[in-house]
Amino acid sequence: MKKRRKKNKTPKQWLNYLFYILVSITALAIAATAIYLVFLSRAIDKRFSGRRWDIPSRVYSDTTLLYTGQRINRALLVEKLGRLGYRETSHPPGRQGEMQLTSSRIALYLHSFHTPIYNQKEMPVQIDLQGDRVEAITNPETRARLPLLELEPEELMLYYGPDRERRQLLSVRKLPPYVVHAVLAVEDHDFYKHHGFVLKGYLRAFWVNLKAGGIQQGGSTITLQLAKNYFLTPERTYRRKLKELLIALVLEYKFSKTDILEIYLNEIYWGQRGSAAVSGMAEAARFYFDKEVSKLSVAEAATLAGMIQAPNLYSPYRHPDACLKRRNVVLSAMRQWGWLRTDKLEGAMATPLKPAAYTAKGRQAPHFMDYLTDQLMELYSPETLKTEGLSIYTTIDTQVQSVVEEALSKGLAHLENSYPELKRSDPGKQLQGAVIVMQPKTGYIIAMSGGRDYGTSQFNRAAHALRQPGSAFKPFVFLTALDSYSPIDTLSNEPQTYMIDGNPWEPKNYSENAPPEVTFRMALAESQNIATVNLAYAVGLENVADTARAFHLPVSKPPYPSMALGAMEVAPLMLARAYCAFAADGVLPFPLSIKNVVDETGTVIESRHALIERLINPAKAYMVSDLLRSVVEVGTARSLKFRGVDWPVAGKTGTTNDSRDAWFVGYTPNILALVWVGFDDGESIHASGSSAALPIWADLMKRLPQYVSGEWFAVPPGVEKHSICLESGQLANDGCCPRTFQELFLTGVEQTETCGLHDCPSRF
Amino acid sequence: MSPCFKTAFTVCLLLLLAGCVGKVAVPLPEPSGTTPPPVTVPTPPESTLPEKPAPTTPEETETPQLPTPRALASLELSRQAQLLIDAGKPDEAIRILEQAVNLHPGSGESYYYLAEAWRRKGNLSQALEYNNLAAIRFKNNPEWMSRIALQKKRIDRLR
Repeated sequence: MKKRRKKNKTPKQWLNYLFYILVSITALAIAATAIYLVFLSRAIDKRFSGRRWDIPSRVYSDTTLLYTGQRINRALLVEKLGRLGYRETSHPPGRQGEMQLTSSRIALYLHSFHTPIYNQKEMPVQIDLQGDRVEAITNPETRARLPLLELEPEELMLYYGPDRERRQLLSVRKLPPYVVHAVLAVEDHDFYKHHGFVLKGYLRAFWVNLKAGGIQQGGSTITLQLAKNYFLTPERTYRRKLKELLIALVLEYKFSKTDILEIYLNEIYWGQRGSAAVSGMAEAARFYFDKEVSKLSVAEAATLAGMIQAPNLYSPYRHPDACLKRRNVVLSAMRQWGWLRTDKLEGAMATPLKPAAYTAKGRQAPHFMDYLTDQLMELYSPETLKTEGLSIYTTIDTQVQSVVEEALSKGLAHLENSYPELKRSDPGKQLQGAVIVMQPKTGYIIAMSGGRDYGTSQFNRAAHALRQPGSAFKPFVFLTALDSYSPIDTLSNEPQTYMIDGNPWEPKNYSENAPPEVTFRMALAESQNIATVNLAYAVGLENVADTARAFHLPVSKPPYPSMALGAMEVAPLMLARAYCAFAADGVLPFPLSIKNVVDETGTVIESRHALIERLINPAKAYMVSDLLRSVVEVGTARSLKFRGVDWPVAGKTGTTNDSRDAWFVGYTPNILALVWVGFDDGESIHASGSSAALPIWADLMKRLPQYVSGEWFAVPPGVEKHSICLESGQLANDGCCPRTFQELFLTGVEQTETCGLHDCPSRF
Repeated sequence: MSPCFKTAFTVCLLLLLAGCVGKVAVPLPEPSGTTPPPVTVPTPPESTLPEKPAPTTPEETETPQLPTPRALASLELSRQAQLLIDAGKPDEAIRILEQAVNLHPGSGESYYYLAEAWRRKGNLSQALEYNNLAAIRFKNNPEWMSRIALQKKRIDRLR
């Protein structure tokens, strides 16, 4: 019966079946579309909401302080201003970023900037110069004298993600209307009217594509362009177009028009700066016009809007004529849609195209950047640095850095020319050097060069090369002895043989004509090896080793006698830091490279200050500095005077066995610099610290007048000055000893006996 | 239309709507300096520092000469830092005082205020070190030495 009923199905029943099948298929299709829309919605949330872009973290130099009466290196300062984006003009600066240079004046219109501790509003300033001295700093508008002027930090590097994008973010709500109108005029004038796509335009594009047999037109609105940007790979298929349409619909549903426009302006590609993509309008405004978006003129806004279609084709740098034509098309469109008055249109059309000076920055201070990255990696992951747009403010002074790099390169080239045997054909094996410049009181690293050419060798010798310090270690031996020796005490300088592990060791002096006896002061000044080893034995090798360890210098346990002559391995940075303690009243500063880390919202998330650790009392530190001043005045570094360094300096040369390493460390109360020269493979450089490293130091310091105060250290409590009879070496009898000199003593170690050679006749 | 179809259609519609629920408010990015932020150095309130010695000239500190330009610039920075300490911003003050010390290491004022700022931050060992360093620079200035001694007492009291 059943079978028969089935056979007798009526057409109506068939239609019903067909209907149910169609409904089911449609329902399934709708369900699938709905599920896909849910998926898209979530994906769009992920892509466009919350953290929507990878923003590279930026590394900045320290700010630059200028003050009345300061000595400056004008050439360095002008170079720096150029790097900061100040453009030279022939007229007095009237706009942010302009600069006028005359022989006696640098006139600037300052950029506004904001750092964690300093805000600078844009304003004009005049820096009047008298030779290399700042005579006055004035605001020409108010005629007010400024006691101090702080120039903004210099951008040094970006931690790029794989896309190498430079991006800053903007808020549409804070933009002048004409900026928005310029973009809408050429990209989507109906933006506020449609719901993601314009049916008429879409159908027209569909018809054109159908006729052409492929995708030729997109019928793009801003929302559709944004949807297109969702995909990272270009593809021109109907399937992709459908996806883009769905994304546009979801975008329109989920976000307000203002939000969509904001995402768009922050998202899209605006050309290239070197190897990095310029993304977003804020970055584009900064790059092409050196301005914030809110400060763009109508003509400039139109220029940027015109570039969206083809950023490189309409680049004001590459194709200024095409760019100008395109800008005028945008301006006309703005007029057409009623967003620009005719008089304004004419003014804007007549404005010449004036992009900012092109700056494709090379990598600055590369070894320092590597060192900094090592420090940052302790705080943040590489991913965070590449994506979260942190601002990292460092201690680096780019004026010092550029002098360091030049002085090192020139100094090494000069050495190679003077000693042709130092030349190597293999660039990987050439003569190398390292320089560190610090501010001893705070430990700020203001410059660092870890080699002569980063392109050839990225090894940072300043931070990581382990080399013997040689005689540059001797101050730590003499420091240990200060508790029981005064500068006028006599040390034996006679050759002596020491037994080490059953083997004889006989240290030798650099000069064969060294005197058999030498004063404590001159032993260090002339870097007498034998006297130093004798002194180390006298005060105890273990005590010397303890001193070195307190200064964070690695010494073997038990120490070898050769330690007194610097036969251990230290990194240049370790040695520079240790010397800082002598220049900083006996406190050892932590070497600082990071000052502040600020997140995208401007909140300081890391702040590092100078942390000091007391090692020795200020009196001892002063005594060491005074002894090291003798090195420069009468000792192994006396050639410094002939190289034009005529201000008080404490310093020490260092040369290791077979002249494998040449060192010079020199400092004043304001600045400390260390120079090392040598081969990576330890070959001899056939030169001493005074002939190889010292000239680089002198060249460097002479070009940094802003760091030369000519001042010396304050005499701390616990240091006494006495007149000493030159013949007896005892306290001079006033007016009776024919030849006397002044000497410093630590309280408790001073000379107490009065001269027995020149008794004064009784005055009665 | 059958109830089955109606149910299927309603489910699909709900799913479709679900895809578009949760219209999110886009978190706005901070403007990249579209408006100049307020000046950092605040208007000083009534000083909360226990004492405020008059600035000295470098004769009393490191250099026995007239105030040098860098000494004057350093004093200006110390003055700015003092305002920040008064305003309860020791971190900002320390940053400026480090600049002052680097500029003119003979400045006793910079060390004194560094000690004060570190005391406010609660790092008493750093405060004590800087108090000692101020004392070295003011050893011939009885007025400052008494203030430094008072500061040391305040630091010791917190230890």
